Amino acid sequence: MGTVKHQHFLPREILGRYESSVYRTSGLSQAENWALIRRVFEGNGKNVAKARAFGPADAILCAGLTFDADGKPHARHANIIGWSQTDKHLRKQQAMNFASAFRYEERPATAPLPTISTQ
Amino acid sequence: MTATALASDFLDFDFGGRRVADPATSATLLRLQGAMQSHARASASDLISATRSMLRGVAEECAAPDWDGAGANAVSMTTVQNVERLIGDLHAFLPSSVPLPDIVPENDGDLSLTWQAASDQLFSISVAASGAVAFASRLAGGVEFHGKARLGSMSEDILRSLGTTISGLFTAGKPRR
Repeated sequence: MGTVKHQHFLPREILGRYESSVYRTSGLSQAENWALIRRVFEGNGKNVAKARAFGPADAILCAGLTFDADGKPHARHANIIGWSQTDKHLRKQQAMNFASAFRYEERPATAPLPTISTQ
Repeated sequence: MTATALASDFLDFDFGGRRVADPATSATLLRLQGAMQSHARASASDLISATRSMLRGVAEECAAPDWDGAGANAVSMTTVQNVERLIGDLHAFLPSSVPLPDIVPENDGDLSLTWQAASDQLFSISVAASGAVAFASRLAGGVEFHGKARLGSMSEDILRSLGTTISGLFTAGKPRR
């Protein structure tokens, strides 16, 4: 059984802004969630998701962060924003403050594995 | 979309989704790490030798860019050496009752050492190839303790403070700070 670590949420700096990529999955069944992962994460034929983390958006907001629902590359996509622009220790603390609200779900046997490209 | 609407949403985040090609290696590392963490260290030298073998394993898995399938920076051998140096500096301030840390790669190429006593009680320290050190923690009573330092210029007081905070996670009552 895996756990959700705060490191999974640490943001990347993209065009001068720190952001973490998430998907809004309210209303989706487990099968629909994994179909979304197949499409947006595994669609390149190289990635394989071993697990996913899911949790309430409220936990992010309570940690003083917010969202940019950019809808790219999928309508359900958003970025967690509001991270410290200056210090990594602050970003670690921000991630740590909400990570425990997320739960871990290993890839179910019912979710078909993607076909991996060898190129 | 408003914050109110978002508050009722559930978010999904893919992880562990490395572009892995060798899940057996990952599974072996996880088993090794789990087995090592399940026992308290017998001596300070155990900390150094045990974390070194785990470090090398993690670094090997993350030696190429995009190891997470989402554009992560590679973990360099310089970073590994920096972590070993930090452990060498820190071990004198960690009692043998403190378990081995969890070693986790980060998407910027840093490596982190995390000691976790409960889901909301943990201390994590990240080390960069540059020698920059960043730490954060959640302690009993919701106390946060975070900051930054640089390898080679961490005073004994700072190292003692970090060691006391880490060991405090595993002792009953309030952390000794």
